[in-house]
Amino acid sequence: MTDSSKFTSLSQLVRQNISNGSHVYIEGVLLNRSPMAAVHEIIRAKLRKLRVVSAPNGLAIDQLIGANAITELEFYFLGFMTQNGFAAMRRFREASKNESIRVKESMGYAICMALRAGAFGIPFIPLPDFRGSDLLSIRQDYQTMQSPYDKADTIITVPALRPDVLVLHAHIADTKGNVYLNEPWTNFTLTTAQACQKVLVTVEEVREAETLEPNQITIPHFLVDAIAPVPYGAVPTALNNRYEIDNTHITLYQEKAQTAQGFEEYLQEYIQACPDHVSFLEKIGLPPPWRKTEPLRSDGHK
Amino acid sequence: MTQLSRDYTFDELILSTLAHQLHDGDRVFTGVASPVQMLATLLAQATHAPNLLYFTILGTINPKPHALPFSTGDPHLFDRCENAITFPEIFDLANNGRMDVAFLGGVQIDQFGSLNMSIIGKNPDHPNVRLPGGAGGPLMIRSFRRVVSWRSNHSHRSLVNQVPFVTSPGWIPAAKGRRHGGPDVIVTDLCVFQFDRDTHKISLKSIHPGVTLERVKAQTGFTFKIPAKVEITTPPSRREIEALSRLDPDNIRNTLISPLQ
Repeated sequence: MTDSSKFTSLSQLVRQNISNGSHVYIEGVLLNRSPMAAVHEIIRAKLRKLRVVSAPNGLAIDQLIGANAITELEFYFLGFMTQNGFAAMRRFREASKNESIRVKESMGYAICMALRAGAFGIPFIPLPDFRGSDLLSIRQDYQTMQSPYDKADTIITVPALRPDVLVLHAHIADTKGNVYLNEPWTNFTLTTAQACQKVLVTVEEVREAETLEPNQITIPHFLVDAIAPVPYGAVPTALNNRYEIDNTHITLYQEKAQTAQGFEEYLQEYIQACPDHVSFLEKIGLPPPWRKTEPLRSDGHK
Repeated sequence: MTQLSRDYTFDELILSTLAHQLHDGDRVFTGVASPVQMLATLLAQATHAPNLLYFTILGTINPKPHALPFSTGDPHLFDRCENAITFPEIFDLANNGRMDVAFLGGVQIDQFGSLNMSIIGKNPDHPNVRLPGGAGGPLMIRSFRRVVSWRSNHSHRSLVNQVPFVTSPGWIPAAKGRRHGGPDVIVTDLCVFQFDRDTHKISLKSIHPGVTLERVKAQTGFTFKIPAKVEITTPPSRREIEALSRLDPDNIRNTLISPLQ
């Protein structure tokens, strides 16, 4: 059975499911599978006052901050390495300095555990003691307490995260709405999807229902709210087995983003002047094709 | 500039020094923006530590990429991996004492081994400079058995007496009597510092060939114990140098690590 109601355009996926003030979780790790097409569409839709919680997704977050889409950011690491060394996120740094965004620094595990709590349907979750970190003085919502089961044991509790929407880019959706992220192990992406009220996915391609094996289904259709087919939807970041990091474009962005004026030029030329992701790709060119690594053994077994 | 014999380069010295901190059989994690630490781990695995189990930030276990990527989030780190888990599961393993070594960095590192990855400036609400963030450090610094830090640009600005903001707490005296942790070793582009396992005090372990003790003292923002006889950092072996050229055929190590001017 095809659930055509889930399939939509990138424009509608963003405009019908995200509004001003939405609490948004953006998937992606460093320069791997950031949902850049959806991020650009959020910017084109001129969404404002978003509360964003993010994986270490520097490029996406820096652009959303520069475009004034974000009012509050919860994060644990922003930046990435390129051939030019460490890329610090300049729009993030500047917005933080002039206080145009509210910054809530967290820790990777605290955000993951908060998402687990959201997925499990419980109000908070304990973490092992990490007293001594000044994160506990800036995060009033993280509480230090004795374990109710062992008075010698101190725990730190973090409240559950239940963002309004998850934005994810993946490889394949079937026509029923099952989503396949082609990476070796993706169970935490499912946990994240379970924590979020709505799941929005852009995909490289759509296949017939029942062509995915059950163990290929990262997020089952009943947890997915909207899907937009967007080939190369992670560009200029990479997608496993599909395309490489577009270093040329990322370097161009980093150079532009050093100043407010340079960022504004980038925003106008590469996002606002491009009505959709296809025109963005026409402008910057397709990314380097995936460089396939030969198996180690001659029998083809990895 | 650091003078080196023509037998090896500065990047090879740093990478082998980092690799020497890892033992055979260790379960090792490298995190965000850590291609140097990644290459050092792959080097240890290719030489003296063949049974080292390597976990990347993407969750892959024992990846064999065709070339070293700049980004530790490059999906080529899924290539030919033995297995994979997910990011929070690496913390889960460490919480249960199942992980050995984490590489953790700090924009600023102090005499206690506390790491600042958050802000420069006194007031957290009005930072002069917002840093990238501490990633998994605040908990990993105590949930892993050992922590190794690599800090380039050794100066009194990066190696400070006391960090203004503690992202990941080291061997701070206030933490005595409760579960705490900190780095075991800090490798810089001038020397290697180590923390005593019992007293947690920092001392100089070795200085890199061609570096003087006076220079290390002048460029360090804290005082440190100096042993009666200061060792010279062991240079890389021929085998290690050959392994590095196999693991990093594009020679990005030369871009990632430069001698301190």
